[in-house]
Amino acid sequence: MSALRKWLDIRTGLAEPVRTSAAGHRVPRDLVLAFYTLRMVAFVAIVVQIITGIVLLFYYVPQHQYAFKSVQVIMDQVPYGWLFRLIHVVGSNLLVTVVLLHMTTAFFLGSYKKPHEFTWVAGAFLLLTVMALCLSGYLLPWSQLSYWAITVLTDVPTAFPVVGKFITQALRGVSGPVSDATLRRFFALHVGLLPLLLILLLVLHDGVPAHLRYRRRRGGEPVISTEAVAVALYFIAMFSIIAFFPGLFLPHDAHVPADPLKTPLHIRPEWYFRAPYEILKLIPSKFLGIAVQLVLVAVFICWPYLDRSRERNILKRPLMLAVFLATITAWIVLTIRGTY
Amino acid sequence: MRICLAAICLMGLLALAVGCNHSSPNGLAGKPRVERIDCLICHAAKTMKPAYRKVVPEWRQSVHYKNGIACNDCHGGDPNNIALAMSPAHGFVGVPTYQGVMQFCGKCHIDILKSCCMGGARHSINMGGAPCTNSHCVALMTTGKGPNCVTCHGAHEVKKANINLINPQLCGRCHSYALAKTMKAALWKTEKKIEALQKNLKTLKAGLIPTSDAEQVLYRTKESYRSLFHTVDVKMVQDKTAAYDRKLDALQGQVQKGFQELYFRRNFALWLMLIFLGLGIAFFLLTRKPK
Repeated sequence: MSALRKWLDIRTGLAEPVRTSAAGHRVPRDLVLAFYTLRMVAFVAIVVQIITGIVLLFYYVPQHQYAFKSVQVIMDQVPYGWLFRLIHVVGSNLLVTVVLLHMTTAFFLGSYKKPHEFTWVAGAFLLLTVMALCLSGYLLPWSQLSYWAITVLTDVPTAFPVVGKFITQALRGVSGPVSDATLRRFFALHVGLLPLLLILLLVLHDGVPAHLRYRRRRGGEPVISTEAVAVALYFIAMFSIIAFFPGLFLPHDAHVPADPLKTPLHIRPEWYFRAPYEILKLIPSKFLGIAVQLVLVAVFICWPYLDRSRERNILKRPLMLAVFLATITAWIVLTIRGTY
Repeated sequence: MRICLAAICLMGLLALAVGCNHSSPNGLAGKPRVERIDCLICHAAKTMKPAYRKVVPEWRQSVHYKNGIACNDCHGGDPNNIALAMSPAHGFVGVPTYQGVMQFCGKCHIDILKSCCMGGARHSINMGGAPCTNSHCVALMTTGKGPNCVTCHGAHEVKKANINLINPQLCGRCHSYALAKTMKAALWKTEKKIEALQKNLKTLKAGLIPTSDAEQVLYRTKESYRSLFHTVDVKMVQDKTAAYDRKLDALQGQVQKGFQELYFRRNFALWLMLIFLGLGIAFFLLTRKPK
């Protein structure tokens, strides 16, 4: 390996500049190095989504008569359109996975504790924004899958008294079912408001606490080495899915144009929304189901301010460990239940 | 803080328990539409006569079930109202007579019915002016003992049709296998082509290659060809098979182009994967401290 490294260094001359600038940030080996790389992978994943999203914008038509057709044109006629769309679709799922894993490891390692409370809060909002982006993008292909998933979802707020119908109407743009107005709203959110919010939150999450994060340590392992491997793994996972399982995130109903008069047999949201959707189905009162989930989201966001213990090691906090494991297990069980 | 943690832990465990054991009050939630019919309430009950009860598990194994065809789609009646489930006023027709089976199935399988019974005045199913020449149909209508649809396909356990339905055990029940064997030989090559095309289109579809046009052509060709077979006229099948083969060959050409695109996409993605693998390794090596 060192011979290969030398060979590369002679030909590129990059080893020294990379080592002195990028590789300055080091962490001790025993800090589960891989956990620190998810931040960079998430950043790269967001950049990939923005680039591929811009390319798709060249051809996508945000009108209900043409939306589905334009996506078909992107897939079948635009040169390499299939590649950009699949990167965007697979990338969105990988982005959610990476951000979820990043939050989970941050929770496990107690990284939200003082003085990083604000980083956690910004990260939590970042996760919610990523999910909102996925959701708004879900409607854009105007397929049976997207149409009915958004119909179910935008119907959820009606459970709230007084403001419920107003929220649904605000989301749909009309008082009736999901329509062209909804498509235009979701399009505007997906390509305008939410990306701006995402960038702002990224700056808040990564930029503001930089003086805390980028402390140079002596010895240890350069994070950038592992980050390079993690980013490479992200792309390897993405292109493996595109090569061997291109339809993994595009089931049958995603290839059928939206038909407001024909309800599909099975309507279910994307995998990352299945646990919340199952909770809604399990709790008899829709209002209670949503209220419980809103409380859980609020707890999730404010967690650093609720957990005031100074102990970072979760293994020394059995109750916290139980909460962590119960939450993860419940989420997995509910997701599986929603899948089958 | 501890109380807050305990409460969340409890909620997680509760969700887990409910998620594992939950069943809806009527036991129907989450079930496919085809299972949400009142017919099953009686027919699956232990008090039902065994002969009537066994139709439920048979039907659940059938191609009809897989395609969402429920009891009422064939037998009529109101499947959402137990009192009207067997009401003739709501279209309930019950079990057809032996000779009426062809017309019963032909409500949906229209082209097949036309091939099974090519008209005539000699029996009850009049589809045209000329006398019916279909030997199966003539036997059925004149003697009342000839084969109907369920003789070969079964009734409630009806499986997806394929060429292996022509076999010595089944055909030998009424006549010698020799004639059926000639028919099978005439069909074999074309049926295998249809099967291969179906399989290939499925692969292309999974690879997100557009197949809807080809699927429609194949479906129409297959249905037309299978209708032709139901005439049980070997000479007619032999004469017309060449035209079907030409159509299927043209379709195979389209499918080959689809595979070229699929392999191109797969290879391209794999190349990109390798490039990122190489970049990852190179960057990893460049950023490590030399020993």
